[in-house]
Amino acid sequence: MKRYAKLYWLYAKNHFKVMMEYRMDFLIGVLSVFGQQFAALFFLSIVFQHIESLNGWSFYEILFIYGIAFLGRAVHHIFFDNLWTIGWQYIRTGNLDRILMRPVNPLFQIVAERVQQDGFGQLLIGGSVLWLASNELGMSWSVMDVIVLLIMVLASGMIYIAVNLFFATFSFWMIDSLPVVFAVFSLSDFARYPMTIYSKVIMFVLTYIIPFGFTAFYPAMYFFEGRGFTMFALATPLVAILSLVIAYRFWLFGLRAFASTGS
Amino acid sequence: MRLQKYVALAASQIKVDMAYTAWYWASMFSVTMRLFILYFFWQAVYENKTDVSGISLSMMLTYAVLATMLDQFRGGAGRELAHLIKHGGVAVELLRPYHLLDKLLAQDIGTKTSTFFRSTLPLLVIAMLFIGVDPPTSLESVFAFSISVVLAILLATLIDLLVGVLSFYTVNVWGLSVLQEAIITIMSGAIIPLTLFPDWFQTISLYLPFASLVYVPVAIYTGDIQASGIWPSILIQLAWVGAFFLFVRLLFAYAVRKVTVFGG
Repeated sequence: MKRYAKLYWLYAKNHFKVMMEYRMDFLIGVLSVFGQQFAALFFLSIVFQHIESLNGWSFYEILFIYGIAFLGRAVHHIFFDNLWTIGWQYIRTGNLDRILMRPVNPLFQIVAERVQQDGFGQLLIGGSVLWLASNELGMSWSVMDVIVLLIMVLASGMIYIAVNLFFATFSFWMIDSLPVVFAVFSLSDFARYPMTIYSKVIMFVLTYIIPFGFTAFYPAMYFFEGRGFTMFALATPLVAILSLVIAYRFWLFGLRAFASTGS
Repeated sequence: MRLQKYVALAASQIKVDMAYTAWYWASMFSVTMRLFILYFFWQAVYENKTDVSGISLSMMLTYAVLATMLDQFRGGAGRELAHLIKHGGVAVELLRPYHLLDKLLAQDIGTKTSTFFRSTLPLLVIAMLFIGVDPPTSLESVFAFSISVVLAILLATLIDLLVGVLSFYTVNVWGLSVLQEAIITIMSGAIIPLTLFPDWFQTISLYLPFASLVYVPVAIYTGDIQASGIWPSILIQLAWVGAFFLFVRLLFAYAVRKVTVFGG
């Protein structure tokens, strides 16, 4: 464990050196994430200038849900962004063979080889949105609430990571499963809005099959009073751990089946 | 004779695009999901209302569907150019017997033609079946809509090329292109009709090219832009296309003289 922490630190240090070399790009990257998220928030605020509530949800309640989604996504984005590249950067190029030769967990190496600095912009914007929303909603925060919030955000991030890992693993058989990961991740946009606006089928899929509902909506319900879904909110960390375990097992299974492209 | 080589480039690009079936299905799935999200979102917005600032639910859904379709035609050529610049391939490209910008344009037209037949048409059928698209208001509006769409797509390509040319100056263009995407998403009306925006915002957008990308053609279709406004709007689109065409050429000609190619 200590060895891994030390290794990760070495990887990160290297990465920051590269980052400082392209300082301008770092700024542009953070700025562009701002732009992206801003577009989504802008859309919502324009719509809410014409309506009072969406299916009974107020603007700031939806903003709160957004905030959790942003933060969870940031956790995934900063530390696990390389999961996206397993197919074309490791398997297609034969880089994975190099990694398998080393006496360190291969998944750890892949993950550690990249820190996505743009995610810090996401973290910042998610935090501000959450803060703004909870202020407007007049929420009071006890120490316990803050701890739960951190756990929920972490769980949300873990679910993104698990889904990403699970579908990236298909690369072992199809060389690059990025299109599949991309397609599955387009489902995560559903999670930005209160799930009650969707049909039963969509809710079922986002709860029991691809659990994106637990990345924002369900955990947010812990902090809203009298909205129901408390059981789902409390289940969030369990769902996160379960998802990760399933994804990691599947990854190990794929790794055993792996035959190099030989390039 | 001159045109022939560009037609060949466009045709070969179509074949290249056809080869990536996995990506095709992925993007079909992703756009379909986006349409469903929009559908449920607008349903919820209109739960207790018949109109939002004069727009009915069926009009809003029609707008959302068409805007989402049109949004698929954004960019592509600029990213290719940026890639060529970053990896040094541009040096070889500049030696070849065609104008690089024309080549990229030709490939872009190829890609977008195949996108239209392979993605847009089937997605429109899905949208008509599950979401509902209003029929056009008149024959004239269909005609004007078609012209407007072509101009909008051309303008999108030119704006994308402009960002691509800028990568002669900044090596990593990824951030820049994401920024471009965000600005266009907000200001083009790709997610929401510009008429819902505050007045000051609408005034600003009158003087910017972005409304010509999505809002103008779609609003012509839905009747949001009325008969008298149709042709002036198309003229403005045409003017933007002309302006960007010249600007991209000039900037490219200037940048090429200063180009530094890395070992690549």
